[in-house]
Amino acid sequence: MPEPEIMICPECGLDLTDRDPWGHALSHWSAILTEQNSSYEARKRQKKLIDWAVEKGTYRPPM
Amino acid sequence: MFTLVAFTESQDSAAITNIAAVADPHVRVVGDDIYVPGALPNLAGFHFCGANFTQGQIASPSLRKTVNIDVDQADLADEPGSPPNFKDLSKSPTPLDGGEAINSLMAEDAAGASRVNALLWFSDGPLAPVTGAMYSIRATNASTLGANAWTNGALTFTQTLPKGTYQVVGMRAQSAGLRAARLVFPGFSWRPGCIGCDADGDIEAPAFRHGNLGVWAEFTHDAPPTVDFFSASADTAQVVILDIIKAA
Repeated sequence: MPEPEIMICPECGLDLTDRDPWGHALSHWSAILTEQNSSYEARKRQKKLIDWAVEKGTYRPPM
Repeated sequence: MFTLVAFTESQDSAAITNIAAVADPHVRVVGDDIYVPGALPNLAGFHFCGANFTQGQIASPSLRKTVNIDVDQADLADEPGSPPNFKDLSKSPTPLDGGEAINSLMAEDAAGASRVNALLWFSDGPLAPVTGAMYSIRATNASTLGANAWTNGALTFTQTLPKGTYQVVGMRAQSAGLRAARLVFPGFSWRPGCIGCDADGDIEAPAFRHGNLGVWAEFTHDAPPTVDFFSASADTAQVVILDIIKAA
């Protein structure tokens, strides 16, 4: 059985185990990243935090 | 009126030696030399950092007529500290000769090579603080930065500025490895900037906020500045706070 993934922010290295990954993502990026306003790497890192937030049930999609 | 330039190099030298100037589109850069802009012939401040920094110096032909500036204070990390060790000369800047080449020199004591960094601010004279109704507005950028180089990115403001003209009178910039950031105003030659922060809790140098360095430049609501970021790493999340005064 694979070990559970450790939630380390790919942008700043903060341990997010006891934090809200979506709230933390909003401290780095605006809620909606597009190809026009962001790099591929930024969207990839934000997606990682969104996935963790969904897993924790804390993701609140932008209106 | 002031502008910001940078030097960075991974070097292995126990004695002070020139470090490389960072490629820069707004001033002339040749190897280790940055040419002092003719309109900004004063040294208004400097900041040195490096994990193994031991001593530094700022050298130019005009300084040598008296003495080059010896630097003993630095942040002993690859990024600025909190608060950063900023030498603020803005109220009594050191005169230089416009058009001369200026160098930053540093020594380090790592077992091998280690990176050292310097930031220099040039001004047209003493920078008088300004007062007025100041507001702070947050903006973000999600470009992937090139490490150890200036990377320009557009700002996305979190609030919409009402129509008008705004004076920038302060700035805070933050990303995971940020050393410095500077503003690029449409049609303005100079790129005034600040020392970078890497965490929400970081304390910035007070000089860069709330009018302490005077008016940096003006912009209209529909032509905001972009930002040059100078980072130690390939960050993708940059946060900028601008202190502004509505001028018209």
